[in-house]
Amino acid sequence: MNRRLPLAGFASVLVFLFLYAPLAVVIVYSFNAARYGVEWRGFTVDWYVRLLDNQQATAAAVNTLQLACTSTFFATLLGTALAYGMSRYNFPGKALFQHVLHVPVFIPDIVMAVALLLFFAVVRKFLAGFELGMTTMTLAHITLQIPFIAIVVRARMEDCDPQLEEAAADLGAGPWLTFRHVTFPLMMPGIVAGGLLAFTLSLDDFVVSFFTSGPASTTLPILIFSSVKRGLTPDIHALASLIVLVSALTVVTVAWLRGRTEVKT
Amino acid sequence: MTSTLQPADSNPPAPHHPAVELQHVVRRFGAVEALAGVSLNVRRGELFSILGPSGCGKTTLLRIIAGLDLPDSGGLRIGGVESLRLPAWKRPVNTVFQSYALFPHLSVSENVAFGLRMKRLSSHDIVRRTVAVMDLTQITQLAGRHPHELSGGQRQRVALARAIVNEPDVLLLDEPLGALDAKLRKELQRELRQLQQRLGTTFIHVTHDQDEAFAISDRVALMHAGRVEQLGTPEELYERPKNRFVAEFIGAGNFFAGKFVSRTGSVLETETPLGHLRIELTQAAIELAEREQLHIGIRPERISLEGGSAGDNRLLGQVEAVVSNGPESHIQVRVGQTLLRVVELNTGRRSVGLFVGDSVEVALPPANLFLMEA
Repeated sequence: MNRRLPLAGFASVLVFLFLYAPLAVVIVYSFNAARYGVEWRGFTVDWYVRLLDNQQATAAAVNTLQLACTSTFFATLLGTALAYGMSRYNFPGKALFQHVLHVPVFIPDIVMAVALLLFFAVVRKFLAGFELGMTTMTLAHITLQIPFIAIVVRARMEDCDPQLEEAAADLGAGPWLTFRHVTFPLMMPGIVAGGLLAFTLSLDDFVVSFFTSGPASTTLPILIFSSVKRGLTPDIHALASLIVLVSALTVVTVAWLRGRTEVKT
Repeated sequence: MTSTLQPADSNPPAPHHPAVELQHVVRRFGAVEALAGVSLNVRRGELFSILGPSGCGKTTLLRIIAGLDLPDSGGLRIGGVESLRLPAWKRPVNTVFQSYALFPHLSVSENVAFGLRMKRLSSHDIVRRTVAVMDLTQITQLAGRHPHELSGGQRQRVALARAIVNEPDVLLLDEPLGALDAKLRKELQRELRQLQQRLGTTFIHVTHDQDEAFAISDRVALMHAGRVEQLGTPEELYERPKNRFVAEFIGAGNFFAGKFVSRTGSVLETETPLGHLRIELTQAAIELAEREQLHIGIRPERISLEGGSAGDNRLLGQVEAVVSNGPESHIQVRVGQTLLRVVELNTGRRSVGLFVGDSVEVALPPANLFLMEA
């Protein structure tokens, strides 16, 4: 019974169009020579070249990458520790904690952003010099990323046979050697996948960044937003295309890593 | 065993110590008593099977020996050394897990070398021993593969190699062949037995499969509900089951109650629902005969429908069913109110076949009847 429904092919083409047409349009227009409007005036890579000279844009790109790397690093560390603790130890309130962990995932970003802004305002009241800027943005992004990493790593650990750790102990490995040679290598694909997911989250986050940023901490999404208010320009298309490219590369890497290291049983 | 694990004044375990001694081991899971006071000794160099239905506590027992679980009370000595306080990674035992538990991120040769690497042997020794064991278990050509690329039988061999490469004092095997198909199981049973005899290592083997336990073991402990029901050679368990559970778990049988009438030496006279029966007692069963209520059994193939010989108990019965599976016939004979199960080999000697409704003379040789405790 492998006959395809006659409309299935057509429907999938529509879905793909629906998903990717806007992206395709942005990428195509980033090569359009026209300064304004949507008329096609010929192919050019000028906008990309000009982007390099745009100091605002390069500063924002540096900020974005710095923010994404720092927050991903700490979130991966904390999220992994959290996942390990939750799958290995029992503690009072564990069930409740597991549910609470999922809340930041489905809570609207805007609520999260307002809450964080309020929280930072309260902290600033007690802690002089705690100004909005890269630090607050990094903290906000870590908060945002931890649940995603913990959930991905946890899922990975649940997939692994708990008897593997017993087998390691049986073969003479103490707790540390067991962790180093068995548990950690098995968690690794989850850690990498979770980390890359968190990285892309940070990379294109606008709402939380916008609320928790300071004057000197403009990121690319914020830059795009504020430029668009002054009208769409092709260099924004070029910038957007680049972000799409980086995000896509990250996702492809995740998929590739998953496929390569998946534990088959 | 590495000498650092023992008290400074102790010598290497003397050969007269049993390989493993369990003393009244109790393990509870909540209200359930998985082990209700198990005591047994496993001799050095024997292939010892722990046999029992699922949930009888046999895997728990194995995990306690391995150090993967702790008893609530009781004692454990491995090679004469008190071992309950030793963590799993310091015990001179290795386990072949039921699920094999091969490391999915390591190749076959890395899996086999794992234990040696953990013990920080020189890379030269690791290679030498890994290669030798992989050769012994016939997995050399699989060295570079990963566990998910192996068949069930190949995984089983890798799990075995990964354990024996460490040259443990005791090898624990948890249903090692349980996941394999019947034909492969038979083949690997033979190989396992050969390997054990070649290495001279003590094997403790857990299984629910009576055929497997009987095919390879020196001695068998039959467990039920957290206790050892009987411990002995396979022949002892079959010929002289201690109670109804053992008799029924191992093979088929006919069981009935009897009343003591008289005893002269080793010959017991009883009154049973089948009629008057004479039983030739073994030395161990004489004490059982002195009870008023007797539990009597006989194996189906020990009953003769072909006249028997002088001195047999002879009864008249009626054939109620005949089923042949080729090599043997399973016949049900009614004697009084009791239905006896009889198995006859189809040797071709019987000139006229048995049919339902036929009257037959049933011969029960006195030495084939046995007494049980309950």
